[in-house]
Amino acid sequence: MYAFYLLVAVPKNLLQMRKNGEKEQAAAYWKGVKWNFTSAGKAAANWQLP
Amino acid sequence: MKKAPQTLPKVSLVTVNFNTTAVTRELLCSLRAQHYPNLEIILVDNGSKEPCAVLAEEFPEVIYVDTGQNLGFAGGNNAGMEKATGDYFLWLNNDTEVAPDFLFPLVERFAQNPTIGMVSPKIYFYDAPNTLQFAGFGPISSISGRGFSIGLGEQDEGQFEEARAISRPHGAAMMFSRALWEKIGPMPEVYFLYYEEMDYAAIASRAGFSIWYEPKSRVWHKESMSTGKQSPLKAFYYGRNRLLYLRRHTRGSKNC
Repeated sequence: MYAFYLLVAVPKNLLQMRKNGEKEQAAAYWKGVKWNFTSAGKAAANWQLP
Repeated sequence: MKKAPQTLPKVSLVTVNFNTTAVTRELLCSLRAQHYPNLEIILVDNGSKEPCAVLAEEFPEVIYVDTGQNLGFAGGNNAGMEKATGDYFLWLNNDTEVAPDFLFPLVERFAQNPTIGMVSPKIYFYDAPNTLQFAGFGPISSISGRGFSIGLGEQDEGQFEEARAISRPHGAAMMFSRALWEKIGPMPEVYFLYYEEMDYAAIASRAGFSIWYEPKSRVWHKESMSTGKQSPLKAFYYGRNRLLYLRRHTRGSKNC
C-alpha cells in the first residue's frame, strides 16, 4: 500500500541525510518511520477520524 | 466602501507561543496596526519555560490561555478555540507579521461561496519581503505523500493574483469558518508537529468544504528561506507524520 513511500522515498531521504552528514537527523527520521509500526502508531491511524 | 464594524463578521485569531515571547510581541504589535474592527486575539502559551503572561499585560486586548504543557500545534490552537467566539477563526503562527488590511479579503472570500471552509493568504518570507513562500499547494500524492508548493521562492511579480481553490491551507496562516469547526470538530492532535493541517484539510474536503488561496491578503513569515540542516526533532516528525498521513488518508494508490 505504501510501497513507493517505504521502498523509494524513505531510503532516498535516508541516503540524502547520510550524504549531507546528518547522521542524527537520519536516525531520528528512521525512528519516526518506525513509530508507525508500534502500537501507538497503529492506533493513531484512525484516531479522531470522523 | 468598508462596512461598519457591527456588520462585519467577528474573527477570532488564535496564535500559539512556545519559548518565543519576543517574536510573539512583534506579531501583536503588527496586529495592533491592522484595521479590521471586529477581531478578538487569543494568545496561547503552549508550555513555555517562561510563559508569555507578560504579553497579556502589555496587550490587554488579548485573551490569554496558558496550557501548562506543550500540546503540539493542533493541541495549542485547539486550546485557544475554547475561548473563541467568532464567526471565523484564524490560526496564525506567532512568527508572522501581517499587512494592515489582511483580514478583509479573507473574510470577503468566505462570503463569495458558502462551500468555502478554509482560506489561506499569500505568504512571503519575512527576510526577503517580495519573495513568495506560499501561493497555494498542489494536491498531495497518495503515493509519495508529497505535494508541491505553488510560488515557493519566486519573486512576486503579480503572477499569482487570482484567488483559487487549493488542496490544503498553509499551517502558518489559515482561516476557517465556524460552520466547518462545528461540522468536523477540532484539528486531530495525533501529529503533534507537521502534517496536521493537511490532515484537517483532507477531513474538511471529505465533509464537502473547499479550500482557497486569497492573494489580496498578505502575511510575512519569519521562516528561513534556506532550509539548511533540519533538527533531529523535525526529522523525526517528518518521518513519522508523512507515513501517518498516508495511512490515515489513502487506500492503495488513491486518496480516501
